[in-house]
Amino acid sequence: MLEFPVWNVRAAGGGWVIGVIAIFHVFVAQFAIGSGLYLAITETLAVRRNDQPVLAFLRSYSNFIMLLTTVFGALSGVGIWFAIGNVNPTGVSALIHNFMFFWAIEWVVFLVEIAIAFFYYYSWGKVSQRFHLQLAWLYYGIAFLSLVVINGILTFMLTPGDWIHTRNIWDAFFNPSYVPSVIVRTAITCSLAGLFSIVVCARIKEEGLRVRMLHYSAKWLMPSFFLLPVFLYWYFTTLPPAVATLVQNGIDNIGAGNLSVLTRLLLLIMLLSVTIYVVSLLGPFFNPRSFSFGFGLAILALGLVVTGATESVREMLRKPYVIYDYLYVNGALKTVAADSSRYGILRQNKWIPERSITDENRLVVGEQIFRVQCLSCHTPSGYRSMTDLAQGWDREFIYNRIASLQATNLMPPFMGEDDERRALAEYIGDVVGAPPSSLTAANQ
Amino acid sequence: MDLPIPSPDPIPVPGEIGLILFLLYLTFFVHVVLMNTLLGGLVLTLVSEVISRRGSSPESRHRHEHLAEKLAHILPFVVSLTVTFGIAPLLFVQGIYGQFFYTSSVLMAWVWLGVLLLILIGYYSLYLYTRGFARFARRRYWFIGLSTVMFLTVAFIYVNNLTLMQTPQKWLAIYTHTKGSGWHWNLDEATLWPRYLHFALAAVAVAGMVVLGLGLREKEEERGRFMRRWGGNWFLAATILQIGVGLWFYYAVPAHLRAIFLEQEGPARTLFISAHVLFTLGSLCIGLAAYGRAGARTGWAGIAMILVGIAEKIINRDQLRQAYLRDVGWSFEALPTAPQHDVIALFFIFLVAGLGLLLWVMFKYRRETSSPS
Amino acid sequence: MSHTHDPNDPNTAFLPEAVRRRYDLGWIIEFFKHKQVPVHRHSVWYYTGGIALFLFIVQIVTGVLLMVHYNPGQAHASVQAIMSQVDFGWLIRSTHSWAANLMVLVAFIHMFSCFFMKSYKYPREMTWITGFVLLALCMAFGFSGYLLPWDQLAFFATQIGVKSSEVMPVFGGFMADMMRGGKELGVQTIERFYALHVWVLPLMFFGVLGLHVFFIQIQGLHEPDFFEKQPPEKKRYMRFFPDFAIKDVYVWLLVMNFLGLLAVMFPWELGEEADPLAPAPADIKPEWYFLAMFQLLKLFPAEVGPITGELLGMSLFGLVGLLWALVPFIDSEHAPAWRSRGAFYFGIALLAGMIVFTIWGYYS
Repeated sequence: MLEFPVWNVRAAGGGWVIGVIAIFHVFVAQFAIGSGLYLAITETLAVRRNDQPVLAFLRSYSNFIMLLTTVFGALSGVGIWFAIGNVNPTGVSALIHNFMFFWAIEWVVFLVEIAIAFFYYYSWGKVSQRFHLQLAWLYYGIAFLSLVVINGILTFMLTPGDWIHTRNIWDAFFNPSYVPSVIVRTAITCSLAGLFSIVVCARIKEEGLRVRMLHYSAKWLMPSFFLLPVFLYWYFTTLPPAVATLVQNGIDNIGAGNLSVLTRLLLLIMLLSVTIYVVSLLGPFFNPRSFSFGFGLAILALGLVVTGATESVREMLRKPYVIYDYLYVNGALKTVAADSSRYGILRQNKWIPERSITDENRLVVGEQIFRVQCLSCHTPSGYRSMTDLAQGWDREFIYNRIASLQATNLMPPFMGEDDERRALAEYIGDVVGAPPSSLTAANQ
Repeated sequence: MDLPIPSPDPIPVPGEIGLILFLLYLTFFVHVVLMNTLLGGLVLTLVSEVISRRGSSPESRHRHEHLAEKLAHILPFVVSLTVTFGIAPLLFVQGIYGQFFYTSSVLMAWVWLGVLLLILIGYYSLYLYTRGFARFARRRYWFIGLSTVMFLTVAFIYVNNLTLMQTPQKWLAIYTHTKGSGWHWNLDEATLWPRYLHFALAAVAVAGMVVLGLGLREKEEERGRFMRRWGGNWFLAATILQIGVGLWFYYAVPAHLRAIFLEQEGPARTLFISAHVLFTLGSLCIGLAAYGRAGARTGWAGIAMILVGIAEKIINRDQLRQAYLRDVGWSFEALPTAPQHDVIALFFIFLVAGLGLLLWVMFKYRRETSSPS
Repeated sequence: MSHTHDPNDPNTAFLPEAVRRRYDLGWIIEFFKHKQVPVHRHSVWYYTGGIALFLFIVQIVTGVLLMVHYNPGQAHASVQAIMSQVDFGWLIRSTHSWAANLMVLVAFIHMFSCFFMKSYKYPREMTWITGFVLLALCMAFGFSGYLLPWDQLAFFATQIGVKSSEVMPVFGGFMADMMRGGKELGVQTIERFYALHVWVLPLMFFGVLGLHVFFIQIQGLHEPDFFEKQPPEKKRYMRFFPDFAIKDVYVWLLVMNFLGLLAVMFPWELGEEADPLAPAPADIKPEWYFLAMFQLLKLFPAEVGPITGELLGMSLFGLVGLLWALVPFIDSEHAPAWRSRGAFYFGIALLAGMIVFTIWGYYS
């Protein structure tokens, strides 16, 4: 919060830049891993039965997979990295300083994965079936390994576990939510493999093959329909208590219109997921003959929305931290923020040119403080904005509210001296169009 | 004037700086050679494509069409490997120079992020060119042209960011002026254009060298000779232009910083001089091989010398960067480290195992595709 | 005619024995077996009627659930209770409001797609007329339902809507009074709008819908000209059962998801309780499906000769509506080509005008 300049993304906020890229990346990347298993198992079965039409189909399918995953999949992953570096350099720096060599291992895995993907596709028909199958299984094993490695870093952010006290890197990597998370994601990779395959198989021209492959691909969705709720429940039990309480409260109160975005997203996820399974059961599984490409695309789109919703939920559960119990989203360390009363933002932040607050520059300084402390999650008048949240408040109320942010359990404490707090309140009041205070307004 | 340089991360660097720098140089070297092949290769492919249409003689047109097709086949793999080998150095750079790298990235956030979109377009455009070589016929040079422009722009953006990274004196003014919007190009940097041209010419030179290398391995006489000469010409032309650009680049760098290369005694100077000697000798060998005045071995020796020279220049590049940064009070000696030897060992195990696995796959592939069964 | 059960009829084999012995249903199943759907590049529009029907079913279900808790005498408070005390009341209400809007939208899409495919032509004139009546009923549903929460927006939007009917000569004032239950909007208005919304309109809707669907069933789906002109061996058809029907199910599931997404992520809000004594908010606007007319009316000058601009505007709408409803008789079975083309351009102009004026109305 004190060290780096802040990227001011209008209207949507930097979080959405990460979000949009990440949702597409996770969608394609999890498919990439699942498709490895799909290709390996399907090719194995096809070779055993000497099923030439299926093998021919797999060849063109693997071309599609290669073009999608080695280009878009890889680049979107790097895109996340660029985006998080721009939005939260403190967070990325912390992660890289912890996990540099884990990421180096992940890099080796990617290198081998991409090379084998190329070998797998370009060697169709040129090498023995045995070797080709070995390549298929190798590709899957390595793709799965990439999930195993990145999962440690991802889950660390929400459940850093004992690392908080021990600073031991293995405590960080094999943290409390590691195992359920990897199982959940593996189940999802199989579902996505099924989903994409349904779409691709719907394009097969020869009817007999199309019907067979649609029916077969639909099966890939079935296991996770039953397993995911179990493993997701396990995952939730490993989350920090405050997070679990949040989810529980949301679920308990959803009937009475607790319209927190979190619970609404959970509701949506359930609706969309059930729809995907019902349609894939009624359609490609039971009635593959009349299942068309358009509907395949439709449930694929639902799958994308589910991916987006679940990733959003995971992100929201972690708020206000980017590394739970260690680093807040706005870049402030928890240990430092705890000492907030003796903090002077202007003195310590390197990017605010003003050194003191005067009547003339109060709004300008207020905007700077907003950028430094609040912009990481809020915008002035766009997404999760002050105009939405502080509507109807007067400036005195805003000023007092800022001092008690932690009471919401969703926000970091304000760090700064009283006059800095006043400047921030003035700025927010200005954005929201707040009166000076209800007392003074009434007296006028 | 207090420069707004972020403090080092409170978490120590998880490895010895020397080791990380070594890995940085190693992976960046591979990245640079691949990237040069890509960037220069795209330019050469585009030119070949144009000549294949408007060349003066049918033989010339035919030869260039064949070369364009050959390059088109290789380039998608090169892109993939370039991107993959770009990841590792970026990781190590962020570990050591994060305070500077993240800051400059944030200051030009949208431009920096744009790199990914440009690569995406360039990459798929290249695939359209490659896969549609026969089918698209006339229109395919739009795809190769688009791809070339995309990657040239990516290179330009990188030069913007990496130069801004080393000049914290400009940061506060930029931040105040842009209000953190992330729309910024580092166009007032004195070294920007010479640096970009230097790297772009180097890319063309390396690509020419690659074509020469392909020509050295070409079994068909005529074609081999053509590729050696054409590739060699590009290499030589680029290298000669490089002399001028190099001087421009050299003198654009502030005097007290460029002193490490010729004035101050030290590893930087040794490498600098060695590299230039190797470049000179290597160019000679390549020139001889290109014009048939010497055999294949000379050609390969020339290529080897150029590659070693590139490696040395890469280290020079980092040494110059460190000079810039030391000038504003940074030093890597002051960075706290806490090496995670177990994880580092695991990394090396993975690296060896991974490369071993790839080698096994390559050999098995070779064996199965060359045997008559 | 004696409907004796034929024990060998394969069509009814799936029915339980007890049913088969008592009711001869073979002829129904035989009829549905032969139902087909033409397959061509514009086949996707065949789903739109079904989607509107699905949304209507959603409205009935959510509407009944709302009825259990809604109290016209305590309109605003009861809606408030639904939103905050009844379990998932907020969701049902949100779904009901969104589905209402979606239904009107889909009804318009359905209507325009039938228009441009010229489904109204002989022998389907009555299908078109009944469809037009259904659209009018839809908008009446929207108008009457909108008032029921009795918040500021509902109150003033309805007030403006009712007032515009006053411009009609002779009957205008009477009609407005009938709607309002007096000279002013009040609880008595809610009560009659409520009766209209949950009894009168649904009964009328069921009746007309029944006719509409009946006509379609016995006449079959319309084949557009370009399809019909093809030689018989080139015409592709899909069986309604099970192929198209199952696709209908997918479409309905997807629509339900879309509706769920809207209802959950953009829940419908309840404004402050209506205060008849307060002045109307300056930028009060009707719901979007009335916006085009609202905006267009603003363009008319206050006076045009002996009549008000508003009356002229409303008459114009009436005339256009009449022409639209009667298009099957204008672009009739043996109509010359110019009338056919004229109808086409009329449709384009109307569609474009509605879109333009709706957007204009939204932003002004």
